[in-house]
Amino acid sequence: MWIDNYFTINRKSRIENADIYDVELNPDSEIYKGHFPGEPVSPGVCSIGMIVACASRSIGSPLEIHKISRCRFLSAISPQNKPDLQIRIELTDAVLADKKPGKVYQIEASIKHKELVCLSLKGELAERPGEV
Amino acid sequence: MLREEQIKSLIRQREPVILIDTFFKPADPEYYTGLKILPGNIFCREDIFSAEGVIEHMAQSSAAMLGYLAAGRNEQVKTSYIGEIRDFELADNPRTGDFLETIIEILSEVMDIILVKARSHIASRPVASCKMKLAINRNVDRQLFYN
Repeated sequence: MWIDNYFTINRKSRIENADIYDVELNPDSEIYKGHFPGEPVSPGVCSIGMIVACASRSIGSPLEIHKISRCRFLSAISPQNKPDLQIRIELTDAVLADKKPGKVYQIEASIKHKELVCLSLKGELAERPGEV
Repeated sequence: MLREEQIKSLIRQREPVILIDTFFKPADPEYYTGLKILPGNIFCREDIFSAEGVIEHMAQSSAAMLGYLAAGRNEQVKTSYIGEIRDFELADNPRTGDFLETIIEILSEVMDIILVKARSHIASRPVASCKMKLAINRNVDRQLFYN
């Protein structure tokens, strides 16, 4: 899967109700061959994928996007101009939802580069089969 | 109908990120795209195509539509960026071997900001839907964008 070598988590900490992940983008990811040739910009969905990966680590079981009520892309991310990012994950307790075999978590998350908010997301993640 | 190589004239994404392989004849304001999900697609986990893949497919479908419209005006195809996603809901994950189809409908168009509704399905089975705001120019006015 694409996300596997896309970024590295360097540090995890907890502030109040949120988990904070310090991550670093991998400029050698094959994604940048096509997004875009000669102009590496991190695809918005890769940022969403990093949030899902961090949330899965927080819960300890693999999750997937079930709903996004709102996701704002406030500033473009690339391994050239913003290689080090801080991902903030806040999850509520799990509930059982319609049509889903596993648990569903409400999530509020953001991605920052230093003090600049690059992305904010509010939605629901559902458990999926597989490994974190 | 446009296929693989011709689609590269509509979008700026290139392999391995390209997530549309068919652009059907549009019926304004609706535009139709497709993707056969092949084993080895980088947005798959084993044989399951991820929600992120579905969203990127929707975004590229919108980009292809914008590219098609630009070509019709004899303009250069520009890069478009996702600015906002709203009300995305995944009903069912596509799997390898499935042909994912998407309908893009333009809801509004103001300056360089386009609001679309995207609906994806496999045959008659709904996969996902959302509303997406795209910016054609990366430096669009933030106030205009999020109001």
